[in-house]
Amino acid sequence: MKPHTILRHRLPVVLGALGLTAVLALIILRLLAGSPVRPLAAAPPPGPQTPQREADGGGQAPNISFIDSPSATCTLPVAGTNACYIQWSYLSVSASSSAYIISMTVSIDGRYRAFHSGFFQTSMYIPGSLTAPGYKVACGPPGSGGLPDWGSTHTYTIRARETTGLASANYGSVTCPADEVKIFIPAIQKP
Amino acid sequence: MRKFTLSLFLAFLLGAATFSLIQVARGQGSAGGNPILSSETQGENQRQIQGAAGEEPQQPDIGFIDSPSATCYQPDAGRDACYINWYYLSVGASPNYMITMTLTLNDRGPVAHTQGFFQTSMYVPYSMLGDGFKVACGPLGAGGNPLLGNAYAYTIRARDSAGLASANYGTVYCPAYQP
Repeated sequence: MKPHTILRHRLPVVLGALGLTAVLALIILRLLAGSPVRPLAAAPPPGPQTPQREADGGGQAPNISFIDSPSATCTLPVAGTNACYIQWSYLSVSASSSAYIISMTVSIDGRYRAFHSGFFQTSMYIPGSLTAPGYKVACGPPGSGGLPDWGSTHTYTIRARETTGLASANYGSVTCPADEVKIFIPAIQKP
Repeated sequence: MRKFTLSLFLAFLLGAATFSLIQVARGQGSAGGNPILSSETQGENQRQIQGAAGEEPQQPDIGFIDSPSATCYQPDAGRDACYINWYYLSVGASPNYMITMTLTLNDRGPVAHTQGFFQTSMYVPYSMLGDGFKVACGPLGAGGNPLLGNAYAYTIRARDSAGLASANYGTVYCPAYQP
């Protein structure tokens, strides 16, 4: 058989092998690159803010849902301590059925206060009592948050990420009861 | 014919290497002599079902341990004290009985042990673990993430009366302590 005839017969096999190699190489490169992960961005500027929420895809299925974070509450368990605690009724977020939740974070006044890791879960539910008694913050003196009879206003950001790279975030603020620490100095009389 | 066979063989080797890399096809490994019957990996999380040592692999009755929402939180930002907890821990082995479920923070050792009592499943809610396990939050970047503190690897194991075992391996990151 002439060489060019042999080549014509072998060409489909060679092209097929090259094509398979190219496809497999693309798969390997994509897997090594990993899914795009949105970096944890800085919290919004401090100060009271209208509640906002955002989610890639507008929170509609089959994308990541909006984070459900009802009833942000600031309580003053013991007066005179300037120790208030922020808590939510619960925090909840869902990913699409083909994705897992990677993490959900809580930050208050720009500082991370909780990191919830997903474990092969397509949704995440954190009851308020799981992080009891809540996150300690300064109550602040009256008027410190802008309202005359109330204390400081603290801003919070809740973010969630899932394995396909989508993210969801809630931004809000909560005002605490006013409180001041009273220090009583003993009156010592000279003998 | 020889070249054709060689091309097919090379393509097969490449395919096997690729599928091994993405863990679609794996040879049956073993964990300390126990055959691994099932295994899944996602990011830093891994879970396995292990058979009894010396026995042929079989359809396991014990399920994966369900351990959602590993949490590390810092109640007081002014203290280097964080608490680790889970929403719940759950595993079933029907019709076999659950023997034990243990929780280990790899840096510290076992922190919880749950003993079965004629029960085919085990469910431990977060409230049974108190406030969680107190750990040091750590400075920024201590766990490898520049925005967070320490990272704590954990292992959760469960055994049933048939000698089967299930295990979860994961890592939880804590908020940083910033005085």
